[in-house]
Amino acid sequence: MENSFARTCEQSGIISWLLLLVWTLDIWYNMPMERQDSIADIIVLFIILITGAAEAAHLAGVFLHRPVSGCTVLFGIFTVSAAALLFILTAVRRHRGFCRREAGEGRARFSRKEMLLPVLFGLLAVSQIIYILCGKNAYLQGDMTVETVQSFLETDTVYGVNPMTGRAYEGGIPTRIEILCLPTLYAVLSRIFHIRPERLILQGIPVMVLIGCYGAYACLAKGLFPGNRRKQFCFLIVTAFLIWIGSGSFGADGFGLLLSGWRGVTIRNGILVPYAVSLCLRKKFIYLPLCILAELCIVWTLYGMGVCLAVVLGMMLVSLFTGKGRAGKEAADGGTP
Amino acid sequence: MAELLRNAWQGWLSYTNAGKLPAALLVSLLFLWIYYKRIRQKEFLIYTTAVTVCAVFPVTAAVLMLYQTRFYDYKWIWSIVPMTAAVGFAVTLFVTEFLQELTAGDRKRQAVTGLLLAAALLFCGGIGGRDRESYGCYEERQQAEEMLAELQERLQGEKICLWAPREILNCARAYDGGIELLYGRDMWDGDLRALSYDNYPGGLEDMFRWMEALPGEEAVPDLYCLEAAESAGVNCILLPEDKLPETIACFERVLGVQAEKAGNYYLFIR
Repeated sequence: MENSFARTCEQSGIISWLLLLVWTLDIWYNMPMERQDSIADIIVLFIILITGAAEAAHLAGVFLHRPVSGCTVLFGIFTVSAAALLFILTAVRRHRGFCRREAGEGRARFSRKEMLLPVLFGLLAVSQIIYILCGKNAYLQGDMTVETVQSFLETDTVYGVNPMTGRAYEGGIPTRIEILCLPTLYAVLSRIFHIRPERLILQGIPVMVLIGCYGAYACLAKGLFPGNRRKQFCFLIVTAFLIWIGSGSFGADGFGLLLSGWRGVTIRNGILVPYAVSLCLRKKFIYLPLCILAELCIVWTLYGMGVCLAVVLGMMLVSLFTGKGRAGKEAADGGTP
Repeated sequence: MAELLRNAWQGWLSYTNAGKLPAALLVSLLFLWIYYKRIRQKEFLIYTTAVTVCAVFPVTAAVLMLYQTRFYDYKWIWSIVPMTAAVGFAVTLFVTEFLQELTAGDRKRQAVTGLLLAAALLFCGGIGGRDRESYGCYEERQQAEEMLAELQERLQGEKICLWAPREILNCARAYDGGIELLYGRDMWDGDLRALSYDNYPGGLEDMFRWMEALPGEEAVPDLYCLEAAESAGVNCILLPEDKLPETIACFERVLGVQAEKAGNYYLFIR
């Protein structure tokens, strides 16, 4: 009985994700152009939302000693609740006529020459996805995510045993590491989709993170080159090249994205930081706290407050000094990449 | 504090030697500042320049290292510098604006300048490289996984507590969370040890050294390690095939089992 309930919750988790996706597309379609979040924004926000749900489930596992199967159920419940809440909000907004798209309003089409740019960018991105899916290049030094997730699934507990040995901890694990949610997120996903943790972590997650990264850079492109789609795509193509180039240097964005995309620092440097910069440039301050909180859930920042906060404060300080609160609306979404 | 400053300075030197991107960033910032008036997103340029300067100079770099806590290396303070974005921004501007406006004569000069800059970039540090020593290459992992699959088959669902050479232990826990080990990857991966926060008793380190030592060069007696393994509940031992015959014989005698040849190893199952 309990198992079937758990299974139902897992399935409902998947369904809620699909509903969430539909909701986000619906929101995007119905918003006036000047307020519209692009698909790129939605991809990043979706990743942040999933991180939030995973953190809530993970904390229940750590502090309430829930088993991983229980965390999976909670994760399903949180995502269902989030989806339901967002649907209600959408319905209310639509009812008020807040975000009705004007009839005949549409997006400018690409010219034939311009089409070359997205095609080139797509080729580069696909080549990187293939590189990741080959699975031969993962860099695991200093990382024990796969072992941790295997331990979670094997023992059905969160940090029940030392992931390195499968035996009881000699000295325990500090709380500052224990609260990070990525191992639970991967364990839950592995359970829901019935994928081997090694395959999910070394191949599946890095592909998702790479897509999220391009989502964040697409937003940044909109902030840097508002209204100029050609330049936005040029920027994305150059970024894709830089990610290839960086794959040889440990610590570079490319290295993290192509060789260790499942790590918290990669998600932070590849998705959250560029997205936070783009939000500052586009003056969409409402999402900034989400970036800062997401970082705290996935990267050990100890007594500091994390990189996203430093970046946001830095950008705001510069904005203040240069006295240019200009171009907020002007920079916000002038075209889509 | 002096140590922190020294780390910050040494960190910058080693950082510039691990790829061309830091040099590309500096060139990009120079380019963007030369054409400052034409740039709309000045906040981004000023922010990137300010944090780059902070990350390069030892005193400010030390402050940033304190902010991110001493646990992280110097290179991680570069997380606050949007390096990829800044280089991408500069290159995009260069390609989409400045190359378009040049006359034929300018283009030649620009091409020569570009080539010179690219050549200069080649002299800025190494081209980077990856240290794959700790986890082993893909082929090594595959071989280890084949060996682990064979072990599981032989033990038929029985709980495995394994003591084996490093290349096997590297993948054991990732391959199957049900396999127990005496010591894991954090025994030889310093970064992992800092993260795992769990210590090993001295005896286990001796066992690790014994297993990895060349034949005849073991620092502790065979019997000492064997007894330690037995008392720790090990039921499956893999020894490299180049261990001395006396060692194999000793294991067979004490464990009371015949060694089996499995790939490049001798296998003892209790």
